[in-house]
Amino acid sequence: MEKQLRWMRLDNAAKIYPAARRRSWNCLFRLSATVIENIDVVVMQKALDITVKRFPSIAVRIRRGAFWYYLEELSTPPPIKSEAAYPMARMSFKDVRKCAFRVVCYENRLAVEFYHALTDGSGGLIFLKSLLAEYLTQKYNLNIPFERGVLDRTETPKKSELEDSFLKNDGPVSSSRKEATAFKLRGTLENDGYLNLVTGIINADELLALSKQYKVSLTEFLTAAMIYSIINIQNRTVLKKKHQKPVKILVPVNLRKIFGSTTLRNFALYVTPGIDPKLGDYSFEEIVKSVHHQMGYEITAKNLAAKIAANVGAERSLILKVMPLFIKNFAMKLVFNLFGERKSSITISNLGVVDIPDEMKPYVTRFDFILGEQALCTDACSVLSYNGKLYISFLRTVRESEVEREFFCFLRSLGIKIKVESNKR
Amino acid sequence: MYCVKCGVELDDAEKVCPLCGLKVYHPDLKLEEAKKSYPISKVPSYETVNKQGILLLITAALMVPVVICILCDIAITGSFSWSGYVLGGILLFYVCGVLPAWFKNPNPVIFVPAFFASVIVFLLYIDIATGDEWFLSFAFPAVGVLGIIVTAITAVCRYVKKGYWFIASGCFFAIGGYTVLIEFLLYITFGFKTHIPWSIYPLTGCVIIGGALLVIAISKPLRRRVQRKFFI
Repeated sequence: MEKQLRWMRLDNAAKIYPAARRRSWNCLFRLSATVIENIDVVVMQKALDITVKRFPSIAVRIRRGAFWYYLEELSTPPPIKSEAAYPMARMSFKDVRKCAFRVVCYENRLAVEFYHALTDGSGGLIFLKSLLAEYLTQKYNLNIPFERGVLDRTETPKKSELEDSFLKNDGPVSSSRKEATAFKLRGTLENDGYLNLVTGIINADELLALSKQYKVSLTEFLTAAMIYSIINIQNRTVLKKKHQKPVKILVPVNLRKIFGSTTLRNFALYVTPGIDPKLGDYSFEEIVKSVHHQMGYEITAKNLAAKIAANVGAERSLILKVMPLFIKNFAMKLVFNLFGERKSSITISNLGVVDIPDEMKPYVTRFDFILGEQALCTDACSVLSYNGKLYISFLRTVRESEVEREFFCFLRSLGIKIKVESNKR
Repeated sequence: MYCVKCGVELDDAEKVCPLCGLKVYHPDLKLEEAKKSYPISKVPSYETVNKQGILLLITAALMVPVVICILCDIAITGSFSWSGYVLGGILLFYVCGVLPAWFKNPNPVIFVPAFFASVIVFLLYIDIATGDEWFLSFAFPAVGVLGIIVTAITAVCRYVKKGYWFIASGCFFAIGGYTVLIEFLLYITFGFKTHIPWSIYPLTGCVIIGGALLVIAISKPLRRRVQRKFFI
């Protein structure tokens, strides 16, 4: 008898991604690890074959039901792919329906690109660490303990890892989703869909010390620096103050710590701190202070629960439930196009400090986190730090590197040393 | 190496600064060779929508009703009769809607007269097929003159980038004159006659508006005053 394939519903946050997709846009993100030696693809394939069994919510493909999309377990693990000129090469929906993630090896770098409907950055990082641990174990005969995000590949998946935590943590009332439309960056689209990646490498301690000076967290500091940079760009492009729009940054928030969840599926929400330049010229200190308070106010369990309630409420409505999928898709796409990314100028996703077991550390030199291209925003910014270094990656769909330049030059003017690398042709 | 403009350190593989595009150069130091972090020659290629394929598809889709109509016509009446109108109508639609899309930058100054010419041919066909005699005395001059007017406006708007007040006033004069022509053609073809010619009314209105626009176009102070009075 054929083995029954496990299937599960998409979690609450994932539902928008297959519905709002476009031909040129699939929401992906990439996590990669660089090791000391070139990757042995044969061993990596073996490691992948073992690891996927432990992650039934990630090693999946997306399928179409009559009313909803759903995730279906893969019957065979996917083959390892080779690297292209840029990360996040387009994954068509046809591919997503075969396998919704890909493992890419290039020289000494292992990268996993996830379709965002499967998991978020934190969940993906656990998958990457476990895959890497399995690879290192097989290749170098290491004995790596199951700690700091490395899971035992032989144990059966826990129920708490597969749950949709949104449905458990919604608040009693839902908050309004009304927000002001933000300033949008523009540029000349690359003709062939080339994605330009620019990564800035910064000494994490140096930047941390600087943000301590301003008495804010690193995410808050980077958000403020980004707002400051984009305000400068807006001042150059929109000359009349009264025509300027608020500059807002979308900052994803990991909800696992706040709500005590261990799920491996999406469990993140976002806040959009911002500044309205119509009110006057802001100094950097003023922006830092404002961002700090805005984020402090927004990122509280009660506020976030109310936000969850708004999203979950829509999912629970019976009328929406029984609507056929294609009508639902049409409606969700419409809502996404009208509101989705228009409420923020750019996304800064900070995955924080990556920690791995000490046994792995000598073999792993670097981690990277790259957020895929956005539907409307020209740039996406993602941050991660490992081993005392902070990696800030910008992936953009346009030719002009205006935001990156403004942002890094501003950090440079604050006395931060930056090393830059790219895939510029 | 460092970028002298941005002040950031650059990876050895960078030949130009990825932030500002400045060429990495030092007169005395040799640039170090290093590999990029991505194989930049391997650019993935994607399927794109083929415009010509879609146009072929539309053409084929339009062929279907034409063929069906002609077959039915021949099967029912035994000759090529009413299906000619279907064929003509679809050809007309093709000339105005699909044909320009085949070209990269279709020039309206060519396609507008082409459209009017095909209308005239279609009307000629109907005239001959029905055995009436209104083509030469009515349809041809009416459509032809309208075609000339519209083509002239299109050409002037496309090639003369100024003098929109003059163009607007010319439009009104042309429309006024055209109504007179229509009345005259109706009279000589179908014998329509009223006590007072009706075309007087649109003609008067058009001449007044056209004249006013012409005055405004000629007189610069007046134009300024109009702008001051009616700015939004």
